[in-house]
Amino acid sequence: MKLSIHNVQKTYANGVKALNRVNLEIAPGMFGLLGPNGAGKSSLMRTLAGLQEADLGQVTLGEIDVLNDKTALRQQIGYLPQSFGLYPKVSAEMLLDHFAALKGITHRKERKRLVNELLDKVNLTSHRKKHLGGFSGGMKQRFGIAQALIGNPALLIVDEPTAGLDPAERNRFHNVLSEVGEQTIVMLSTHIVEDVKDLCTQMAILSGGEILLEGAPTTLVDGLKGLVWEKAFDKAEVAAQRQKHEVISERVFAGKTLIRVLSGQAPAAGFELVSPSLEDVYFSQIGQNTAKASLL
Amino acid sequence: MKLIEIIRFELVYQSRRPVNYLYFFVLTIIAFFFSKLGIKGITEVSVQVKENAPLIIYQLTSLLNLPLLLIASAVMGTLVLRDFDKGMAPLLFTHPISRPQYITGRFAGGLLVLILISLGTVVGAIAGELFANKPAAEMLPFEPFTYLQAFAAITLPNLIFLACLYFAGGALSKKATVVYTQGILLVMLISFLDEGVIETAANLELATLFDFYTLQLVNLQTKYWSAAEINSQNIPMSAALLTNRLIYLTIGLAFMLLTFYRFQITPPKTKGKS
Repeated sequence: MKLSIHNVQKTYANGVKALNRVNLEIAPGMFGLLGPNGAGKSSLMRTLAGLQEADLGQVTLGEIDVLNDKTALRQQIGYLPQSFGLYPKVSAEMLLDHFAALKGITHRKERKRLVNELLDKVNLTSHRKKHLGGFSGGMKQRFGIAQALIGNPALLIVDEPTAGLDPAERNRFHNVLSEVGEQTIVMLSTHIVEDVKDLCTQMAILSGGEILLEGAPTTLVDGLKGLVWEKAFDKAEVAAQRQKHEVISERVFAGKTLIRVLSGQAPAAGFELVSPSLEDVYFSQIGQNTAKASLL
Repeated sequence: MKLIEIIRFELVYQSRRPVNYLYFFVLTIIAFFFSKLGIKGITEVSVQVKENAPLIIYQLTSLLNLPLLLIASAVMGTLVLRDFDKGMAPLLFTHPISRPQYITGRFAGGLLVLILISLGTVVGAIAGELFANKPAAEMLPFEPFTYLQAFAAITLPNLIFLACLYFAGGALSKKATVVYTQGILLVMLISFLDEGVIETAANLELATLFDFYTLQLVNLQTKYWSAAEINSQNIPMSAALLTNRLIYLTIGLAFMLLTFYRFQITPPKTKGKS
């Protein structure tokens, strides 16, 4: 099954253009949608999950018309929103059982087996009787993924799932996702480059509601080979360097500012050619888009 | 099947809310004391009328509908609001449930809980009669059916009306301020209707068709009853009383239809397709 997004457009009532002619073809596996805050990631995710209407465009999941046949869509998707809440006085087991019944799993024993299996998968078995109000952020996210996995969805949409998780929880979460991604289309939206680098076989960069770039992370990184240069500067010199070069990123290292520059040849003396990373791909795209926007 | 699951879950969810037990307890206590002390002094009937005559029980049941105006708002108004307030909506609405299933399930579950809570008025009133310690001469033999009949005639239709109205308020506004104020506003509106319109109406028979408590309607119909008749006869299920109940049920139904029609899971499109 394939997810095809064609020409999707969304403008909010306040005039903000959240999605501008978005086109994507996504095959089973982990797909990372990378973009800064406010890029339109959640708008796209909510549209794909049937929680928001698009103004224009077509989306199909296999044979399903995603934007017009929400009943069929809801049988085939799992969704973990960026922010959500849970009934505080209900146990994890009980709420999962309820969601499973809503998904159409009518047989009680089958539901019980599924709930146990899912709780085990997300490592919440020992907390199954605990009220959801007492769950930590990580536990809540893991519960969120468990409910999204009910009924083996063909499309799993996870919106900024690791924001606010500690490293151990993040790893645990990644393991669950990568396991699921073996059979399902997993669409992961994030502003954390590492999440995409660690997990995804395909990705796209979204900024200002537009897809700037898409492809396999390794191919996209390879595309910058021989183009990324690095040099450390004193803080006072950084502003001048920004004027002279196409600066991708800056980070403080050992009291100096390490600048990475995009250039077909050595930008200046002292610059060292470095191996490109996915961050370079991301920041170069976002930077170009921001520059383009500021010119308009 | 999904509808039954939504109702079942609602009942379990509500059974874990301590406030529901508090509502039941408060109603039971209020009903108990009114019933035990007797309301004949308030309703100005002849001394020969027994403390537990059907008309007195009817009047007591009618009085006990006042706190229900507020309790019903708290129970029914929050049914949909809580999914949006607690952030459950995006999880719920990406599971395959239809809008009618969701609305009907939440409403039916909430209404069942509201009816169970409201039965506190019957439990309290019956207990009040049993513990009244009144001389046998002032009492008729204990007849629980009279309480249930009054509950069915006054409270039940009122509960359905209130449930529809408050459910619609919560579901369509999705605002806590609406849920917390709609009960008070309705109390004020009904008080105005009761004292400002019905009591002063030239055509009392017509005006009492809109009497929420049905107290003035029944008083009008039993105005010329002797004490013996009051003690021996049940409240007549007259055409006027049935019309009154039908009016309130129809208003309630209209609000529910509006909810089915207007309730949105997702915000509407900002532009038309081209």
